[in-house]
Amino acid sequence: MIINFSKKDCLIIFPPVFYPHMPYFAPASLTSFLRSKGISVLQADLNVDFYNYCLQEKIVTSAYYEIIEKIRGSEFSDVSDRVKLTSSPEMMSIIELLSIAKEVIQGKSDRIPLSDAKTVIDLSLDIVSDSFYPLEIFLSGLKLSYSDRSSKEIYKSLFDTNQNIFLEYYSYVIPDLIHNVNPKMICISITAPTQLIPAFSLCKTIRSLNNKIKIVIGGNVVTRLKEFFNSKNILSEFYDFAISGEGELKLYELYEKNFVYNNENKINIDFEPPTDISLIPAPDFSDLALDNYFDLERILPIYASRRCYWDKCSFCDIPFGYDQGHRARKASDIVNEIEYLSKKYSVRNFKFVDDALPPKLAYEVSSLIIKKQLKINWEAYVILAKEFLDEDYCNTLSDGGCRWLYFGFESGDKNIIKGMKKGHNVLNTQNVIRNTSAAGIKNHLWIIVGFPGEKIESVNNSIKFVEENHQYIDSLEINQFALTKHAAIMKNSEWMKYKIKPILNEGEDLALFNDYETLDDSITQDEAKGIVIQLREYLFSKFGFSNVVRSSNLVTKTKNVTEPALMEEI
Amino acid sequence: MRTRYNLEKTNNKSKDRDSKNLRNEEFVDRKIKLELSENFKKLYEKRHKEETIKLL
Repeated sequence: MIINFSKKDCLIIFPPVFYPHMPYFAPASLTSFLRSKGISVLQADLNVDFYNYCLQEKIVTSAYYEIIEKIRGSEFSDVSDRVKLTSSPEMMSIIELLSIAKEVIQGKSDRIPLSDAKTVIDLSLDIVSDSFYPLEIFLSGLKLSYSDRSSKEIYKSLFDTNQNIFLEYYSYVIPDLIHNVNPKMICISITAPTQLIPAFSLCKTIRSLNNKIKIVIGGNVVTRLKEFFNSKNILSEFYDFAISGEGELKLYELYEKNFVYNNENKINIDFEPPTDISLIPAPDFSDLALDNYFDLERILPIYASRRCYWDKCSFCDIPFGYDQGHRARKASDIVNEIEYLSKKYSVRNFKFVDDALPPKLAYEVSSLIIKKQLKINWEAYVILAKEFLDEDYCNTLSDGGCRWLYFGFESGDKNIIKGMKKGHNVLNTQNVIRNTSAAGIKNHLWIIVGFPGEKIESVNNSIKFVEENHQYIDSLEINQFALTKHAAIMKNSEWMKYKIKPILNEGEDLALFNDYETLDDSITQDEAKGIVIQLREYLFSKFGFSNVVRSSNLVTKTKNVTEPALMEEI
Repeated sequence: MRTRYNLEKTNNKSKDRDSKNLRNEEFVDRKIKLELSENFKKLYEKRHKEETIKLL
């Protein structure tokens, strides 16, 4: 079956680059909501399509010879190790294995081990990247010489055909898409900063083909930067509207009222309140080729609640993406939706994309799954809640399909946890991970280094915790503290109480987090960076953790595959 | 110019699960081993050790 490219009112696009292991939730939810209101929609995941585009034998081969030609023509000022790798004759055997490697990673073949397949994919992306040198594309990210923290830099990148691979990719994809679908409105969901340059490259391409189509940008990044995007700016010429927060009803209003909100400055948009989430139909993935994603089995996103129920952590600004406070769905609605999606899309793996899955709701959902005898696996982001101290609670979750839990452990030091306002007790953490492990649920822990007030002694408490409990930890990530733009610590000069001072770098008008200086004898930002590198080297080599986050451990680890998981961030 | 590329091609729905399983069985006896020189491996590891891009 081929996607129906016939005329539609609205085209919803998820742009590159983001983890391509499963469909993103928001575009599928917007699609189903608009369809329920009678608007015809086509949903296109250009993120996964972009990776499939790059990872074609003909594209990689062509890129390989382009690199060789560039070396011959002395187009590289310095033939670094990077180019030595991608111009190596050994790359020919890599390219020969590409289609098999892709099949292995997409769960369609097992002819080579998963770790070899990952290597082949990495190297193929290296070749494609170096043909657009200094661009770098990974399965987990993107790096260009232009900063996505500056609107001027993003603007400049839109005219650089030597480095901006997206301009070339869109030149193949977008003309036919626009011609056939001919939508009145194109909505682009920008969830991560790595999507900014690709998204505006897309906007520019669309504008050049048809300037009558209304271009609407939205998503988490647009929300966090809404003051910028709702004002006239250097990128304004490439879109008509910027929608912040939850988009379902806003997009509908915009379309139904025939874009009357339009004005030059893209401001004064007065929308209806957000939708009652119980009225939003199940996400619609029917336009997507689910076997083209990069994981061993299909996984679909689902949600039980919007906005974190705790919402107090002083460093976190994830809840900023919502219009209202915490709202939870009924357990019965969630399980009915899982059952429906499981049957409709032949899927047994689900990822709860809630900021934090509420413990009581997790229990109710699991109990219903057991009652209905659904054979599904799920994973979720959770808080180290007291409910996990109850062995029966953990067993019920496990029996109800819970396979992986992602905990914001953050620190093994009680004073740091107190400053973070995490609300959990460090002493209980050990029992939480032991109980969940005993119940057959694997875990991922996040650790933050460099939170204000952090000293070597408190870092040592985190190390000590991992050393004492490593046999109960399945996956670990250590990150440097980031002073995010909308975190509580940034509001009302709260940072002064934490003895730090934000540094505003000139020109970084799209920065989602700030540099900072410490005003006491705590670990500085630079010191924290160094400690993170050392800690990763020490703990990862000593205990062999796989560092996988925000993608999914669910399928790889559930299948007991011992190779590194697909979306590493090391 | 790169080879002409169509969105439709990669958005084609893959064959259903049954046909996929058949393909797996077909491949089961034809395993391939990836063999790389030490120098090549070093260059690869050097490049990917520095892969610290964060999405969010």
